[in-house]
Amino acid sequence: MSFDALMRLPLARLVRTRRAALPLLGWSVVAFGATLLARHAGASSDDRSLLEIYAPFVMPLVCYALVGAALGGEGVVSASRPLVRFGASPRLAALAAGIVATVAAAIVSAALAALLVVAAHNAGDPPLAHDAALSAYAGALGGAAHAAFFVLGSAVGPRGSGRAGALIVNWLFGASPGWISILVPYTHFRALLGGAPAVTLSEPASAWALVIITVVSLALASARVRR
Amino acid sequence: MIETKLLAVRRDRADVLPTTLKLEAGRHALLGRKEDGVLALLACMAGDVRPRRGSISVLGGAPSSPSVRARVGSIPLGLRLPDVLRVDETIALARRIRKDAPVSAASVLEPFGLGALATHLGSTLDAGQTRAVALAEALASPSVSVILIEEPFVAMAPPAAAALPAQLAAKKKACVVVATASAFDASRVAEDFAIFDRGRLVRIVTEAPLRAERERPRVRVVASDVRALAAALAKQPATLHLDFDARSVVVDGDDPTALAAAVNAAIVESQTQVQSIEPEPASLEDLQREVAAPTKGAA
Repeated sequence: MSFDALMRLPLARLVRTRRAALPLLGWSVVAFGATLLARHAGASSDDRSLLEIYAPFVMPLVCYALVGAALGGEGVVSASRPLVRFGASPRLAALAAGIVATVAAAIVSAALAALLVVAAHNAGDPPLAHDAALSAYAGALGGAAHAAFFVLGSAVGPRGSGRAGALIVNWLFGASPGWISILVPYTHFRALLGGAPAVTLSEPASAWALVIITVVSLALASARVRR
Repeated sequence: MIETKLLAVRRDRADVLPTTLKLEAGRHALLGRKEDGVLALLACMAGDVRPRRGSISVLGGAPSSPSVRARVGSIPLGLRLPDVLRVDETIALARRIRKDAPVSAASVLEPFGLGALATHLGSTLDAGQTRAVALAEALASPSVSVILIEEPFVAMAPPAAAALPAQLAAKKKACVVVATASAFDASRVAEDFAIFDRGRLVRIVTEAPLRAERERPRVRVVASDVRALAAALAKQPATLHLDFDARSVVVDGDDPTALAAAVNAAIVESQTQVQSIEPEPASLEDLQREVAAPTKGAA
């Protein structure tokens, strides 16, 4: 069986339902609305838009919605069961769903970050193209890591209720100053955007940390699925 | 094809006591209620429940292994198909996963009268249509050699239910296992019957004794207006006892000839459309009582 066959169902869940589209639209309106209002008042800067609105709220909540949509609003086990009953490996089916959600979150997060930079840009900011490209790069890494982290949460608890727990843990740990904050993607994503660095890690180290969180979260989520 | 050795299973507070059973190609019924453990045993065969003790082998492997599942069609109640895929897409995906050659969805669905569902989304199907599509997919797959069906005539689309006995009989090399609490339903599809009582396999019987072990003649009439037919039968002096559900009336008499005449008169009086009149097998309670003797085929 080819792996792409297993991606078919989560991909269809993403594009054929409104489970992802409505939150994406709603949070985008919030992000762009706040940014444009700040710009109209002459108080906008792309850093502020990304660090105060996008990184803590919009991006995690959009990724949360994308993961929920790719899994059909259920846990990883239940979401892959329709394929498992035809003979798909439960772990591969779970991994396929996780990868679809992660890639979708990376693309959407990168696009949103770049567009927000364009909307918030003012004369005092660095050159627009360079800033938008860097924000897209950070958005892609951060979106992927957040989605993978939520996929891992979806592998815990009834009907994937651990996903909400992962969202809360991401906020709580990400806001804490201790070493524990390096375990969650928000800390590293904020560091990539030029926010307070995660403990003593450099920006490249935070980028690698996001990659590691993505890979480890997907692997652990897949490993939790047994039958 | 399916072999259990001192297998003990528990699911939803229903236990199966250590059971040794060997099912080869053919059509088998696990006859009993949920609390008798037949659904737990069927779920174990499908790889959905782990044994508490003993062992189970399906097609020579563990029932939960992907290679075995690809060769098993499991049709439980409450089955779910991919909700956002169309039926034809689901069939194509299933065949890809099972490594079967692609075929048209129509060729899979038409034998069950389900051709019109090909372009419907999984989320728009009702429970009966969902189970019927899954059954059609499993029966059309050349890879599938074990078919497990929970209550074959409950929550099953009517055209598929009508086609089911013939379609199962046509899959000659497969091992078909149905779990049901209805001796009547079991007798329509199975060749032998493993009768369970409170988790214990009490006996395996063939169809003949299932029908023969009766004290009084009893027939089941499937009709369009069940209430009118039951009312008419109640007036007949040959009727000793009658019972009815949404689709049929079961009537007991003392004398077969008198009972046949009574049924005929009641059909005429009620002016109902009759789909079938069949001798009713013993009820599950009768069977469990009658076969409480030493077990054949069980350890």
